[in-house]
Amino acid sequence: MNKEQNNAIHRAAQRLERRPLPQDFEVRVMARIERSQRREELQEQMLFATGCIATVGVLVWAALRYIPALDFGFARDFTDRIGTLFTPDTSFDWRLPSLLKDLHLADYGVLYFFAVVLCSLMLLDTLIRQRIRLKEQAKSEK
Amino acid sequence: MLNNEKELLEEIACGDMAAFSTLMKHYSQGVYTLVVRIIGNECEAEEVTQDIFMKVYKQLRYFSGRSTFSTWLYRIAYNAAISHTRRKRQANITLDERRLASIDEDDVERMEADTSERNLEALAAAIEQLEPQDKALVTLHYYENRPIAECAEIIEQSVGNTKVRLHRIRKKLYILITDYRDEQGAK
Repeated sequence: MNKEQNNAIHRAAQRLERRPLPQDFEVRVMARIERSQRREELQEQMLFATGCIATVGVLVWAALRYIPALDFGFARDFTDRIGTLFTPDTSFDWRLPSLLKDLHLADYGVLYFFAVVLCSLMLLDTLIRQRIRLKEQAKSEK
Repeated sequence: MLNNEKELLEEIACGDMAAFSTLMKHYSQGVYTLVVRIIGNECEAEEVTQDIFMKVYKQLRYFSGRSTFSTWLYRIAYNAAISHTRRKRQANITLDERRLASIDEDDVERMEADTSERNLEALAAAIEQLEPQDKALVTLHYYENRPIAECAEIIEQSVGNTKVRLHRIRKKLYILITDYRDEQGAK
């Protein structure tokens, strides 16, 4: 110990109360790390599932649109209608009821539309359930 | 430093949670002591210490080994605790620069040499009143007995700058204990 570290400031600092950590500190940190890892895994899975749904959706749409045997018309109409949205001189009616009508969602498209909505809701539901479970687990561990 | 620290770090990098638990058991009390000194509140300090070890676990792959693991860990702890106090905007006693400049070196040296019970009690109370950064430096240098070069690495300042800061802290402590004695005398 050098001269400086044996002076009054050093001694006074040594006197300061050493407040102990709670005994289960390490357990709590380990639990937090595990939860964080599970959350990351879950996020990755969700991302993967979303990607799969989007890819399948695009493939189904492409098949319906470009494979003549599967062309029932609505996918082509749907694409054509979307195309008109980006045409500057379009006299498109932006009010929701007529928009849905113009997009021909009332035909086969409506099934396709609701299938995608249902998949998204299922995905969201899984995510929310997982989050609630993790929160409850965190509370009980505290 | 742990004897098998290097091996432990390699095991943690391979995902061994038990190795991380061992490392945490060794360092958690020291880190917590530093954090609680800076923050002042035990509950908040525990939360911040948990965050620090979470961060250490996630960022361990970025630890290059240029400094010791202990220095790297304490640097993360110091930065996290100081950021916390900045968010909380804690009120600290700031001393007048002119008053600091007017302190005589001999008086400070006399204070440092005086190891009487009365002086030690006043100094301990004065340390508690320092600003978070100063309290951290006192904890690292005087409580943990870390050399100035290592303290400098932890607080990310040059050695010269750290020496200047320690010098100013001594002067601040002298002012604070003078005021403390005046208050005690007035009572």
